[in-house]
Amino acid sequence: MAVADVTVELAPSFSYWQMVWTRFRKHKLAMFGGAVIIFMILACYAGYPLYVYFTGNDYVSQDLTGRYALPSAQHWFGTDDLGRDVVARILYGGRVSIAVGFISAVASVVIGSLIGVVSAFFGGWIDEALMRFTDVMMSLPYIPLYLVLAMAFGPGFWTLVGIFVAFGWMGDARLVRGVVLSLKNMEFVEAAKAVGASNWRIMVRHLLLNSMAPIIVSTTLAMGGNIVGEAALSYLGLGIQPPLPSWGNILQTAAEYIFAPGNGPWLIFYPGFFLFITVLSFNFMGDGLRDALDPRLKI
Amino acid sequence: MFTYIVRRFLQMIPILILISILTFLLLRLSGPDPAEYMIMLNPRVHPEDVLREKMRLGLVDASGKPLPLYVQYFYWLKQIMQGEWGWSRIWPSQTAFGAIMLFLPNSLILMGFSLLISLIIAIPIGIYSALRQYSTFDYTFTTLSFLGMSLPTFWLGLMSIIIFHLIPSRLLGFPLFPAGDIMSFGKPYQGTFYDRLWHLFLPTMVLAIYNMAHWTRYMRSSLLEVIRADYVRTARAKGLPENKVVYKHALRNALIPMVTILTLSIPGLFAGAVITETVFAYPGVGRMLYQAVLGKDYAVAMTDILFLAVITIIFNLVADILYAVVDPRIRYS
Repeated sequence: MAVADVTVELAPSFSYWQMVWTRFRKHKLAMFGGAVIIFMILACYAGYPLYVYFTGNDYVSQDLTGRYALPSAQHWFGTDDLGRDVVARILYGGRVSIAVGFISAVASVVIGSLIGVVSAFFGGWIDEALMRFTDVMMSLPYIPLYLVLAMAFGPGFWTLVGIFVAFGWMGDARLVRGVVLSLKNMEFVEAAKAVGASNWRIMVRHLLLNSMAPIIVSTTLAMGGNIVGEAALSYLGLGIQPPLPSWGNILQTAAEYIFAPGNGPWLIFYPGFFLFITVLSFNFMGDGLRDALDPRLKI
Repeated sequence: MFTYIVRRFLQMIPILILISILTFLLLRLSGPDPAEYMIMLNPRVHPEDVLREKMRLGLVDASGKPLPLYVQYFYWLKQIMQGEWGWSRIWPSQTAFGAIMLFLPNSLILMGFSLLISLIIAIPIGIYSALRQYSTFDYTFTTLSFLGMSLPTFWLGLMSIIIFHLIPSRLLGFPLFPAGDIMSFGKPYQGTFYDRLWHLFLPTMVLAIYNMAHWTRYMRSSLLEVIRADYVRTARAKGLPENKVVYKHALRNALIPMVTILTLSIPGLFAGAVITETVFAYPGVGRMLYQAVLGKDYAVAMTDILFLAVITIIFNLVADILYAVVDPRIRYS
């Protein structure tokens, strides 16, 4: 019996991440945000040494005879109240601001996810205790506590990160707990239990990896939020301390001399503008990722 | 419903106890106590005076031996319960609570106005965006709300001072709006209604722009949530006019989550806006707390935090109860 010669046309198959990328690419604002973030990171980390090499301006050297210089080929954005080059300070300050945002967002997501998964997986009194604690942390007025804690532990890089982590994990914990509660009775978890996987392995490999979509979106949004938070506390003088620059404390120095003769409005405009564009990009990217990773997601 | 409220009230007690412990620990561990301040301010103060002050604060017993931390905690709690908030260090002859009451009205006015303005503008925009989803209008305002959410308020505040105060005073010789404070001092019109309104304008606008962005998004997404619901389709199918469908069936349900979010944002009125108030040198509770922290006025700082925590918890409860009142589908037991 002859078999008919049939060629089967298979539809091209896509992996999950290929589909995510296809959806993400369609979101123009998110693509713009992603491009700006990559540009900012490159400018701050690779651009700063190049700028120092070509113009000879670094972020600390002062020139008291050349205070408040107008923007020129030598000083692209002019100089500040101590004659320091503003571009160099913004690029170096960007490293600090982005680092605070990145480290604190990742750390609080890790802690929040672990608390969420443990709470949902074990249930019972563990869940009850952890969720009550989360409620208490959420009902604390956090902005006043930022101020008191920053003062108590001495303002600085790691104090800032610590504060943002201590008050940043609760949303993630609730989010992950919700997702895991809906996952933990599914067959694949039962199958993993049946082949003798340890609790830890089930929690990390099966439950957390399957709740990656909301975790990634929430981390992206938290990075933007924490960068503003850093700038706000540094603006109040309770964040990054000079001589280390950050977008917040560059803005604070400029604002302190806002009415000084010679203090150009651009000294206030530039650091805030970089801050604004970066935070906006993180928000756009978070929105695009939400649509791309899981179109049904609501955060 | 009644048993639910009683149960929630009972659940508030452990949360309040935990918050009081946290507040106490911060107070005690975050620097020298007020008695040590006496020595720092005046090195020649009598040791007996310091000891008496320490005993009055419940830090040491009669023989001068330091008391254990938990005894100090109960002593402090007893004082707080009796309304002994302690005296302010940087606002002379004010109790800690008195200092808060001094600045609270200014903040309530500022925050209340900006909330009101942002709601009046944001709710119609949010409704229209949701009804015309993916239209040019929707895209424009969704993008604008992202811009508003990402604008750091202190930068917006400083830029508005530059644009409306600094540049006009240099070019025209007079400012369009003042750079800060609540009224002009030393002017014949000091403290008049219009003078106050004039000073309120810039900070209110800065806060309103920021709030507006959030409220537009909330309104849009909560209306989108119900607009595709079966009962809205039913309302259309039975031939109701479109505006009845929207305003009677869809909007009223979409406003339920808005009531909750609004209730939860009320404690923010009592917290003030630390950053905007600092930028505009506006004497509100937010800036008061900032000054108390910088000036190590821990009595004021801790009282304010405890006060805000209590208000936050109360409004969480109010939000839950209101939710059941406005949405009859919710039944608490």
